[in-house]
Amino acid sequence: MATSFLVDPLQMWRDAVTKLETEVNSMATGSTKYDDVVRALHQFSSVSLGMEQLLEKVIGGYLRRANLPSRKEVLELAESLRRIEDKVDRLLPAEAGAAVLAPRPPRTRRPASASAPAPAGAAPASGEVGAPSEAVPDAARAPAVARASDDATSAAPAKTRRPSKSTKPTQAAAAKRRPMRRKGG
Amino acid sequence: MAEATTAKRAEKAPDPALTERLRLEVERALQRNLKAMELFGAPPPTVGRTPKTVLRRRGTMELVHYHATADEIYRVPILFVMAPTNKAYILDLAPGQSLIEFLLGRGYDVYLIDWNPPTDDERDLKIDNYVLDFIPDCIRQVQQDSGEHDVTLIGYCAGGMLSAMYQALHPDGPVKNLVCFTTPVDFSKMEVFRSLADSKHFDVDRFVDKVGVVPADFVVAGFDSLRPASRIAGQIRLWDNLWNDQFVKGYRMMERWGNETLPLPGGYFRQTTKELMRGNALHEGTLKIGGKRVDLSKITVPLLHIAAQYDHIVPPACSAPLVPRVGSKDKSEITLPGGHVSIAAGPNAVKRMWPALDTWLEARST
Repeated sequence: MATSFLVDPLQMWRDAVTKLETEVNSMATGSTKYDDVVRALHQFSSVSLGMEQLLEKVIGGYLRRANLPSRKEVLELAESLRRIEDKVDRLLPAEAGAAVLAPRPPRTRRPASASAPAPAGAAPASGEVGAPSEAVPDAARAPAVARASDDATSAAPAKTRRPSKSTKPTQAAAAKRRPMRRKGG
Repeated sequence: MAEATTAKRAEKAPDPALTERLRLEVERALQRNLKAMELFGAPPPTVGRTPKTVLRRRGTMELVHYHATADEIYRVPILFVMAPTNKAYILDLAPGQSLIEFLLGRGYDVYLIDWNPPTDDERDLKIDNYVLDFIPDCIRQVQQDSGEHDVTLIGYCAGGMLSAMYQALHPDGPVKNLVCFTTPVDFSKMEVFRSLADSKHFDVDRFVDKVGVVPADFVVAGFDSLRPASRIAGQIRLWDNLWNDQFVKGYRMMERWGNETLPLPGGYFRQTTKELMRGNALHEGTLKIGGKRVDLSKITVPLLHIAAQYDHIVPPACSAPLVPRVGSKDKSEITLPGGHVSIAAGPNAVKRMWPALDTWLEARST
């Protein structure tokens, strides 16, 4: 947006903020080499932690007198409830959970590179991604990026194979467990 | 005469670029005021929307399974291990900004270990509990749930460190592939954290005995000490960009994630401070978990390490020894431009890290 003959004061201000941030960060991290600074930081941290604990104690005392639960007690109660819920879930019959489950997709997917010949300059095959201490060259990454975007556009929306957005451990999880399979086994 | 008049007019005529700029700035200033009002009353941004099922919850540990979106999936399931200091929704911020969503779309079966704030009962949890109890327990759950023996383990930051420790202690276990994002190994390169953890100034035993569970504020202050000016600078930038909905949305999601930093069990913090920060035991090869020495050279499964060039929390030098130390023949390291968080979430991640991860994983997931 800057014109040929006028400086942009807002851009100057933005640059100044970035420069100041960099300098302050650099100075602050450099100052941790000095014992006095580290000692002062710990003293400050210790005092503020002590104040926080004192405040918590005072408020806790007040809440007790007012016959009200503290946040900590409410959280403990929530945790107990959650444990009970988990136990109830484990007691539910396995079929109840299994009934709502549809079959999962087969585990037969093969890498795209295995079925189609790689074009010139394509992403490196297995074991070649980033040789030790080397960055993946942009040219090598490009096809992978293209593939990812293709996939994003072609991918079907999530199919509801389970109760959507379930956030509780369910017996369903246990019900769908199947015998373990090793490759080729 | 006529020429002189034209010249005068030209001098007085406003610069079109200047007027355009002024118009834009006035418009933005108005937008800022309006959006600032909206922002005050706005609920926290919604994050972690990819459909999932919680398979197991045990205290601080929570194992979730994301619902597959592809019609055909790879044989080997993925298990993510998040760092115990942060919530895992950084990997699933929003549609289009979610590594989890990307991997599901690419045909992977994704499980994830997320952490909840530890309770007072869990104050004594140590690294040992994470490595020898939580991770193996979740791997067993994944095996049972998927019906597959093999698992790909992906750890982020301290999650990567815990995963590497697990694998070093269980080299013949079910892990088929190991992927670590920005994983600290040589703690001598974390200079600020080391200075802060120095026993000359910080009595960790006294501190942990006093607090039990290390408060989240303390953990946040530790991270902030690495870039103390960045929080204020970030707020200035937010004000500057209040007119830009996309910027505000991204900022608020990241801010929420930062604000939801987790408290740490005192035992874990004590062990990290004493053995890793001060003793650099993982790098020195003297770290013992459950009485057994953690020897990274015992790791022989295919390993991918992804480091961030501008990582201020785990500098590349801190994670660099991982790949040379492991005994795997198939091992790679990718250093991508980006910071500790932007390597996994953000436009850079979408363009660089996710496709690189997919390319590496697809050939090893059948």
